[in-house]
Amino acid sequence: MSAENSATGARTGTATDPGPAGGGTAQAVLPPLHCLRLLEPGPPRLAALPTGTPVWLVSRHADVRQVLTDPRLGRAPLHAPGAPPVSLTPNLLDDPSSMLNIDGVEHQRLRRTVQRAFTPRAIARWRPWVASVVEGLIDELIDRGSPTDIVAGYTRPLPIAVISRLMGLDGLDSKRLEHWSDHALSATAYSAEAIRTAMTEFAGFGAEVIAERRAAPGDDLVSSLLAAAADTPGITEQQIVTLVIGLVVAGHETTMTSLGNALVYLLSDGHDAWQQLASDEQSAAAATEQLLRAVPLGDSDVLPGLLRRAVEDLDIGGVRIPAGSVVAADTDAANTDPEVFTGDLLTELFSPLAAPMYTFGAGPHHCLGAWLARMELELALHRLARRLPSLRLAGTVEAIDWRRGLLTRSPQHLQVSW
Amino acid sequence: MTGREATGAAPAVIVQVDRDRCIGSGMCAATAPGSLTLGADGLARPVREQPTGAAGEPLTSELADAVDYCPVEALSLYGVRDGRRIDPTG
Repeated sequence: MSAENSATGARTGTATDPGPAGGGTAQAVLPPLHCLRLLEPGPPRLAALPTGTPVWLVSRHADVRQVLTDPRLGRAPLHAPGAPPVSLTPNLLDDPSSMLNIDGVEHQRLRRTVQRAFTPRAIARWRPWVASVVEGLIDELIDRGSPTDIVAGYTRPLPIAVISRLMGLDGLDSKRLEHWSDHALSATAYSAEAIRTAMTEFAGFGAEVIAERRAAPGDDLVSSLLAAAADTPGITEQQIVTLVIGLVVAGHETTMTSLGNALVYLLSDGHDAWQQLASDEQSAAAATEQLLRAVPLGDSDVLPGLLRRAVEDLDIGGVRIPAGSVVAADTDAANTDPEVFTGDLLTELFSPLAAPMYTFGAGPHHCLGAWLARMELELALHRLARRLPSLRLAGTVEAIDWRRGLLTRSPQHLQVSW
Repeated sequence: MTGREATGAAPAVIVQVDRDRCIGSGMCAATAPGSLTLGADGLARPVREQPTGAAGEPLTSELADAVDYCPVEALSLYGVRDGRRIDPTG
């Protein structure tokens, strides 16, 4: 789960994509995410966003860390009056009042309403329950029999079940949720009008949930954030609504994406590791870190990294970046910077990381749900490998039906057999 | 809370930052600016580096909050008197 950084760090498909579910026309074969050719790390260089706005691409490990932690670079300036356009079709991530797009004291005030629920210890308390959901889904996969679609039966329902439980959204219609999520993180799949309509509807859902919890608080995340927000002056109702629906989307979309793409790798090029993944949770935990590091969440052609804007002149990696510049921290390039990471997934899947990875970002906007996502991935991979040691892809990697035109890319369906 | 004096005065503690875990969220520096700050490298460090045997600083509610809210649990508190780790959340 990736409430802040990783959703915006995700990349997308091509401008001709008809939509996330694919279309009737022939589509270009896309490489699996673990095979993407990434930007070669080097000094910051100028490129352009799809809007035509100039952007400094920052790719070296140390430079990416600077961009994400340096207070002279912010999210709010990206949406300040007179800022150059950074997205063609604004989606949920472009709301200027949302937690993602405010900085400093204002950001911390809002983030504190939810932060305590996502610390490592708070998340660890959910572990036995998440493990039971994982086991239940594997039981159902086995009952349904081989071959089956592991996206429909596992990678999608697991994160949805987890975030629904945390937020007390039992009975959430998964079709409606998919519709809202795909629009919330759309890059080229939908028109600006379609995104606006879906987001208005989604905000209406969020407002309903908030009204319910105000009337009858429970022990869920929405109730606790409302209690914290009520004690915090200066938080607007729109910020609360956007935070709630943002948590719903971020709470499952990127985890589903990451798990789906990890399985594509582990059931194809990385299949030799499947047995060791089953052996113990420590191996699965190490593999999860490496997979999060080395398998991007999406393509780089629409959004080249985590965006920030300079509020004053500064130097990054020896290059002068003028005030007002848009900067993209390419976390995928930094995560494979050969100055820092010398091995690859085949040789290092079970080794500790040589340096921090930036898939969850860093600095004030570090992904709120990082520990939840890690736990879900660890348990999902370990238990699946243990229960289904002979699991394999039923089709070829080339034939995978990808969700296209979104900020993230992952399989729409993935047929597996055992 | 471990080490609290009978008088109700805050116990003296030493705050440590695990800089391998720190992701530079700045949450601690904003919550307890008297105790924690962000260094030039973007990572947190105690305002007062405490050598062994130092007097420490009072465990204020701001400092307890900072430890509690760290997104990656990179902060730890140790009692000056007994060197034991203090968990402000109990």
